Amino acid sequence: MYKKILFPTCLTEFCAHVFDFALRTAIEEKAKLWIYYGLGRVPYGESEVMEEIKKAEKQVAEEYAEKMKAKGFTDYAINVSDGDVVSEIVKLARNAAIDVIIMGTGTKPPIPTGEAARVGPLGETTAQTLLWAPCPVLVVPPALVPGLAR
Amino acid sequence: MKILWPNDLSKCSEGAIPYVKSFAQHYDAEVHVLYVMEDLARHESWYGDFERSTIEKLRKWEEKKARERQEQLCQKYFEDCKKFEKHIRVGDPAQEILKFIESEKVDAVVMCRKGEAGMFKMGSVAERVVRNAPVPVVTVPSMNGSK
Repeated sequence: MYKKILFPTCLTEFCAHVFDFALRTAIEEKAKLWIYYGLGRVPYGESEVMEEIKKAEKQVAEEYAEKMKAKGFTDYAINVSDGDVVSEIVKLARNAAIDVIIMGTGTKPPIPTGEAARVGPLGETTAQTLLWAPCPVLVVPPALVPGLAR
Repeated sequence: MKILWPNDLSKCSEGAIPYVKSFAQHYDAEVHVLYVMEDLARHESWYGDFERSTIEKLRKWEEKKARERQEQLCQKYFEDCKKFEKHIRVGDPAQEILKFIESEKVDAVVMCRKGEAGMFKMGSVAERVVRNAPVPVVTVPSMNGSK
């Protein structure tokens, strides 16, 4: 169904749960997984930006490579860039002809409030990606995150 | 597995058909198509009182049209309508969709990001569903030329 999946990450603990969902989907679908991390607009020169990108790439790999290796999943690519995060996600989705973007509702974990884990608004990046994405966007709700289940 | 496909009979919501179909085939899932009718009785009587019979007539007409269209969709795109269930509800679309997810234990929602009345890129119903649904929601972009 999906052959190319894009997972934009924020490298937070909440994003790690969303990553588990994206990885499971990629394994089930035998799809290639793109992991994207955006630095945002950074006020540095070109060489410093390159350095930041390399640093972030290493950080993303450290965060997720082990999990993927443990599940025997090798068909992935890590992509880091600077610039407006939403524009970069949309650009990558278009250029790589992504089938689906998998994201959480935001970077911050919502506050569980008893029966209903319905607090915490939609993050700006997710809201804007939903608007501009050239492909379907799958939003993983907080209710699917361990500890926040209803 | 149960997939909910909220459909307001707009071109955009029908643009989600390929995704709904592939989901259904891939997971051998039931497709539940839901049309939510506006509750006409909730309007204030701006120009004198509404006749109860007029509201009832309008409601019945809308329901009949929606059923016909749902039937057409199921015949055309979902071979012999196996594992395809049609539902019609009355009320606020986002609220009814969320209630439906809870009551029918839906596993995923596939919907267009903009409905029939939408003049913006993201419809208010899709937005409220994404914000509040307890299950994954796949929002499909509107196709070129769709309203």
